Amino acid sequence: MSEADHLEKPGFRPADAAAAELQNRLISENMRRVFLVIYRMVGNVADAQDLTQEAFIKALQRQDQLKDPDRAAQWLSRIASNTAIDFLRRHGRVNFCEIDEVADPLISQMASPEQEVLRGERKEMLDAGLRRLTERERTALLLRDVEGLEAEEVAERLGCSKATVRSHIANARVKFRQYLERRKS
Amino acid sequence: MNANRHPSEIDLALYSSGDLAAMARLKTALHVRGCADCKTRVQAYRADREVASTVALTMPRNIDWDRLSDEMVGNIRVGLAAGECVAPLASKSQPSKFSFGKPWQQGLAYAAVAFVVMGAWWLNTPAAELSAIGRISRALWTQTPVAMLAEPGVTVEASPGGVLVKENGSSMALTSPGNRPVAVSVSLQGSARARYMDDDTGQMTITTVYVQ
Repeated sequence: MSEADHLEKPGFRPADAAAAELQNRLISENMRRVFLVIYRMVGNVADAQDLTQEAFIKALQRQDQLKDPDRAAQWLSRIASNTAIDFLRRHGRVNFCEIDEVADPLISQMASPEQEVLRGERKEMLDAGLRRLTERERTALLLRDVEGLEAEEVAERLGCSKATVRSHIANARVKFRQYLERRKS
Repeated sequence: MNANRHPSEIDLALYSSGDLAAMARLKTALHVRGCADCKTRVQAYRADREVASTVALTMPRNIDWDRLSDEMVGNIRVGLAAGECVAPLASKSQPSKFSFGKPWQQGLAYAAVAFVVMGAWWLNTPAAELSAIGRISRALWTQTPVAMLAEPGVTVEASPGGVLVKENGSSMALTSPGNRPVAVSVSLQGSARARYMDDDTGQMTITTVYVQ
């Protein structure tokens, strides 16, 4: 069953057909991406599922605030990332304004390359590379490189300075690069 | 940093996406233009951005997306329906948006309304009644017997002892027996009333004097 089909079931009565159509489109076109971004931020499926649902409910309840339907994906993305950031803060899991050490953190964290090679595919390996980043680094990297936000916007969302956000982004990239180079070697 | 010294990895990582500050970006650009190693590093960081983005948006193999998305859409639908049910209750419990503003503004508004009502009543009340009200007010204020002038030369007076009528120098008093407590009242229509209860019989006696 597609995501849009669910919303046409009896009992679901949006204000009008246009609003229903927009809701269906928002969900079907964005749910996968929103879920994945949140999943990468929080690191587990159960929380990512809850937060994705929460983000969509928030967004669809405020649907009248969406002025330009062409920018719906960005608008939804903003609500989703803010929802995930709030969750991380609420649970005390991350303080975005602290800076991690960049000096080769992979040595202590990394299992032996042979063990990881045995686990399989390149995709898994890259996925593991992202998981090695701290939550603040990964969140900053996702917002900058996946969501395509400018560093100023990332700083605004995380509630810290632009310099701090730059450090998070740079640390994340350097760690990811080091990880890939180790894997190649 | 001079042109011969390599930029740090941090600077190269930021330079690859244009996130370096203006001066540092210029210096790094000058260096990278003439340094094959650093140029390769910058290209690698640019490629990593693509890779990271692709990886981040790839569904992990351990997630059954079809089942998960069905479940999430169902939950979103339930959440929206629940929100629609709760919304009318929430809006009822919110205070009215209509407000006079600050407390002193509210007080001023109430005072203005009271002034208009009192003014209208005052203008529509006969002069004799206004005069009687003035006397009653003074009597209440000074706690003296209430006297009412019904017509020229005739005075009706109510006191805790009973009712007294005076005319042309003579007077008639209807007093209550003993020291029983008497409730006295006067009306603006020209009457005075004294009311008391007999302790022995429990009988209520009411004396009303009308002046015409």
